[in-house]
Amino acid sequence: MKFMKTGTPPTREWLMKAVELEADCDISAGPVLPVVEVSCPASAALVEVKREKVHEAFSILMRQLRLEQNLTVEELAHQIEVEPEQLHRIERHVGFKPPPRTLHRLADWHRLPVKAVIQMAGGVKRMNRSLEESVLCFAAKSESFERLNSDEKRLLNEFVQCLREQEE
Amino acid sequence: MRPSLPVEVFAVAEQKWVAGTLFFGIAEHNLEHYEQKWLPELLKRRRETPKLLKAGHEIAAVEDAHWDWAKKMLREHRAPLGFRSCAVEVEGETEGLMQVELATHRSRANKNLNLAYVDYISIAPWNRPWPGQLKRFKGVGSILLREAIRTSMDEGFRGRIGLHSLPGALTWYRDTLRMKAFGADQDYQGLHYFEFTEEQAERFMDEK
Repeated sequence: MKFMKTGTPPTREWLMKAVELEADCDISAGPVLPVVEVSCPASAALVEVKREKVHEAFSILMRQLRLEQNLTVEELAHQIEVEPEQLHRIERHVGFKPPPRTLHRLADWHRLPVKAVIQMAGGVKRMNRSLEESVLCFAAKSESFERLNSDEKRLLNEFVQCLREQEE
Repeated sequence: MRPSLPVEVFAVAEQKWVAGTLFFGIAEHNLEHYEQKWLPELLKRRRETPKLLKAGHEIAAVEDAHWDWAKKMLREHRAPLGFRSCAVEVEGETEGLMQVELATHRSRANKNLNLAYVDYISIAPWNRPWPGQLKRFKGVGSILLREAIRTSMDEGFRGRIGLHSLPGALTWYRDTLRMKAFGADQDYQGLHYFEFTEEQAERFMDEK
């Protein structure tokens, strides 16, 4: 895991020394930005972080569902009559926006609600909040593996079930 | 769940140590705390600054009120190997945030050697000096800086770190920590650039 550390916490003795040194100093470091009064500077980027995570989850979901059916990209593309290149891009290129026809075909094939699939693929500006929470939760727990172990399969099944429960 | 380390910070009003947590990675609720709790206070202090200066108080301008932490997290999300971020939380509140860049900066003290560059480090406004107000917690900044050095060590940079200090923090980096000073950097808004060498970092981390 990216942030995994093996270190130990600072001791009380070290902290006492540090606090004494800190006294009444400030510690900020980084660039000075132009003064622009904004009421909510973080929100827009926060939305973008979420959107990228949702796209990532969509790529992982499409890949995992295909793998679970033991299909190659070419086989699935043949089954649903879309270009294999599009499926490759969906699975590999986070943020790629597939055409609506492809999304409909994928939704039908995987028996998922079309609206949920379109939302995950970035086809709408605003995402249903409960769906977004489920997707972000799935994204946080999933990775794009070649094969799924039993835990990943369980997680995938739970998420698919949750998607199917979304209102059409 | 984010990996974490237990830490302690000193509650100034109560004069006691309280338990906190150093989380590896900045979470959405940290960004929300920044936006909803830090930012209003930072902007209020920015507005109050001219009056307080006129009244003779020695205070530093609030210069980090417009750091967009969400955008910083976005770039980390896009290039996860190049950044490490962390947050200090006490009783569910965000008390300090830091992002360290690992890929592109080189040491000025040891030419061409990599270092961990502290791109942004900031503590909650109530933990900073301000006329008529006690700091809520002390120790948050030191914990973050220690983590920057540990990150440098983890990356094989032997504790070397670099940063551009905001004017209000010059005393801390120059006089208190005695980091190696390289003066005002005209390529970086004239901010003073500092480095911890390997030896200095080791001394800072020394538990004795």
